[in-house]
Amino acid sequence: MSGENVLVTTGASFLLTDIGHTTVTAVLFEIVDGVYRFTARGQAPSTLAEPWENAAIGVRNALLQMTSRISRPLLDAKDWLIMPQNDQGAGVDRFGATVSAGEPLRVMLVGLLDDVSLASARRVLQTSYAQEIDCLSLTDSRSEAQQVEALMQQRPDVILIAGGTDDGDRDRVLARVETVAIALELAGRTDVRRPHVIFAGNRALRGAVQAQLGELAMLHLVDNIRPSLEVENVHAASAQVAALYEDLKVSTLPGLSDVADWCGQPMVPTAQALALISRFLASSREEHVLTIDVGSDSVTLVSACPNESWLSVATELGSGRKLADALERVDPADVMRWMPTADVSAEDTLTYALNRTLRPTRVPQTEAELWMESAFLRELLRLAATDAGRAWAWPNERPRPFDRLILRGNVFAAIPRAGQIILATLDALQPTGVFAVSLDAYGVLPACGALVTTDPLVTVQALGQNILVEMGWVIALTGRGQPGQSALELRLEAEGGTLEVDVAFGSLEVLPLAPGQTARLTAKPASRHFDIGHGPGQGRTLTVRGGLLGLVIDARGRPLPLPAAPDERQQRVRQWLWDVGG
Amino acid sequence: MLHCTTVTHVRPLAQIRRPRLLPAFGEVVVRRGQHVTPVQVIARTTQPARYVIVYGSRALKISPEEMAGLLRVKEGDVVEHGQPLLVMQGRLRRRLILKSPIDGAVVQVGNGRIVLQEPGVPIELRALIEGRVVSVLPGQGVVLETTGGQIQGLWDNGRDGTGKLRLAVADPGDRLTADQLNAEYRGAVVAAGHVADTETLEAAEANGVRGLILGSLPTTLRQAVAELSFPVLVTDALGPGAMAAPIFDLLQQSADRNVTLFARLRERPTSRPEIVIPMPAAGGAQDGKPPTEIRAGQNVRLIHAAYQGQVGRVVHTYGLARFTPLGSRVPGADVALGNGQVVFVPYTNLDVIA
Repeated sequence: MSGENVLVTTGASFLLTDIGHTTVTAVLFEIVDGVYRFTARGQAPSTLAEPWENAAIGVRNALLQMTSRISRPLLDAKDWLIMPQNDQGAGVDRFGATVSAGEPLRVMLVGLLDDVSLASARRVLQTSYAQEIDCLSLTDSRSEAQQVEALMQQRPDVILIAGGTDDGDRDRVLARVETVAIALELAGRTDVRRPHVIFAGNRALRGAVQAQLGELAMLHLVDNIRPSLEVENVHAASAQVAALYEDLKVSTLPGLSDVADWCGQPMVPTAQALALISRFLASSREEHVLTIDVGSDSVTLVSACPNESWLSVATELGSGRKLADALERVDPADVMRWMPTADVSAEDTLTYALNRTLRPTRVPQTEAELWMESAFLRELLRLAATDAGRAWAWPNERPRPFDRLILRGNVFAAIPRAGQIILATLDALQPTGVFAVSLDAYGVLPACGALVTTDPLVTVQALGQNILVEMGWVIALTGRGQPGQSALELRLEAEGGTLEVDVAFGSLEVLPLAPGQTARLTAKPASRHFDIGHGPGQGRTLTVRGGLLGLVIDARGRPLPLPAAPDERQQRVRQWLWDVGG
Repeated sequence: MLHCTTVTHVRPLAQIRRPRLLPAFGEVVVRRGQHVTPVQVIARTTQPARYVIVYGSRALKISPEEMAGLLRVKEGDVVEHGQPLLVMQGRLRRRLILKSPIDGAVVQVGNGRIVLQEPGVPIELRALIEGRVVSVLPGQGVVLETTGGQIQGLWDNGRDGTGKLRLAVADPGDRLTADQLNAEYRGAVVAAGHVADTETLEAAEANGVRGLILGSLPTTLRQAVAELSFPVLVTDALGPGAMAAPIFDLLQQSADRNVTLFARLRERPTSRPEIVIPMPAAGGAQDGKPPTEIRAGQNVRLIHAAYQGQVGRVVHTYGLARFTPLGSRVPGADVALGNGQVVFVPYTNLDVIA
């Protein structure tokens, strides 16, 4: 990152807030000793819910908390942001915001085939805070009248119509459009609100669609998401969905107009900001970065390579308000399998999840609560990764090898030990490869993402100050073998000496490597039966840096061998926790 | 250093504003500034009914344009089952007649289709509280304002209702049982610490109870509660636990008054269920602004399984994060419980009662 070495003598101070459903985080970047640094953070509960119902109060609370840390005012007597920074040092020069607090867009999908146009339409929704509420397709067994009823009763925010390759299918697409037109015409007689319709199908039908729906809806004509059977192009439709999320769900949040007035730039959806910063990190470090944000109301995954990135937002999953919704997809037995003790019952986990939904800010205070929190975290990660993996064609629904895993979300802050966090992630994703694990413990990544296109120097220099918490490195191998059989030969050369380890199949080990310490790591599978992400039997030598936990070697195999008998399984889970110091 | 957390209103006398919204677009029948009574109808609509589409041009093998000339009905007409919709002179003097398959109305004609709709069930929205209309949302509903007691709840079964408040138990942790419920509770909103079985819910239904206010509800009873005809509002937790003492005390003070239970607004996921105890003639209502900061001396509810339903007083707030017994470092406060014990609780696990 070339900007790291640029000395800045004068420049603006940047204050950014991330406004979520349950938490508002404010971060400040200022020039210290000639470079931009992350200098302060403030955090407060979101005030979107009753009794406040005003997002600006939570933002001001976060700024007031920051004020007490930096010993200079940010707000004036009327609680208005002081901008630009004055001669006494009060206030800031620039303000920006990322937002995930809006309810997801409720989208009705209309298309032809589940595995063609509708599959692409679903991938469009995955790139934003959007939720499919219903789908009209060729395989829909409902009558047209029932489809009209569904459209009228569901009252979607957006109807996304796909179908037909360019210059391909006409009649079947227009038949669906006509059904939509009937419903919109009937709904428009009583409902003054005109829904938004995105047409992302056969380009040749744009005129006909305009004629049918132009007067009945706010119509957006975008590039066909499936111009041919072999090609998918979701960019224009994704951008339109993101823009509508901002228009319909963010700008209408109560009290947010105050905050919007402070912003010099449009607010950025948090997921898009994470995609931007992940892409930036990937290209600047020539790495494959996997970023996972577990929020109260959504789980976001970004897979970023130097030249491309993919985003997947699961709006029906979340560690707080959405935990009860997640129960519709999570089998209680799947949650229970991660319990290291028999003291927690299935009813306890259900009760915990339901109360967490109602009080999303609460943190575990007992061991039992911690086990339940960690068990749900594993299942949320697993489901979100499964969804993303399907969209991104991951083999066996497990991530392709990556170089860095970045975790963020309040749920990680509530888990006390680095080993517990890394273990939960390994259990859920079951990755293969050699990678570093970082935690965005201060909640700075969305801010860096929001600045990366407008003020890249701030992002580059702030990231150069190690604002992510390094948790450690992981070597995860796949393969088949007998427990105890030699699986991996390791050589770790550090300043204090050289360590050579023969890792047995089935084991989970941690080698100490303190934060800041660097070492030369050589890892070689013991035979062609094992793979660390570079092909069967292929080894790798690289420089690794220490972290809170050190170097984790996960040789347990894939899929994880979890015994069926509860007491045996609990013992195994307990053993793994002990192995990582949890 | 400023620290914040969630707030629950438990106020004996407050200025309360409450939206009352139709489930579907309809007609508001009161005007801004009007005084309303609990039973007064404030808006009407019809429940969306089934549609039926008759494909006229396809059935008679004619073009949509030709079909338009053969129609015997027009949009808005009420039709009966069997009534001719289209009549066409066929070959050999045969008349081809397309009849209505339902009793209903013609709602749309075009593109070779006739869209019919069955009659909808009328819905009347009542005020449920005595108060004043402060805002009219055309076609959607109104915002009412009243003065009275207000308790914000935690969970509800999606129903609204009103009735005379009766406390069935003496202590906020006490359980309501089926044998306590009899005809004396007909028309009442019954408050108790918790219920433990479906028999109690069935007894409440059988005895004409108009609502239940509970401190907690076992998760296993959620489905049964969802099927009840009357509103159920939970104040403190799903699972085991007592009702917080300040809530129980206010309900005790309001016994035999009319109370209204409002479910969370479907249209506003950030809203909370609410108990309103209207006293429109009372003066001196509290300002509606909730506190934004945790301070020593505040009453707080502990959101924690070990202290579920307990209320204490903040005795010290910490600016810096502290270690919990689990090993997490979190900011929090020392809270003195009713028995004199002082415990450290993360701010996120406190709920200010104000």
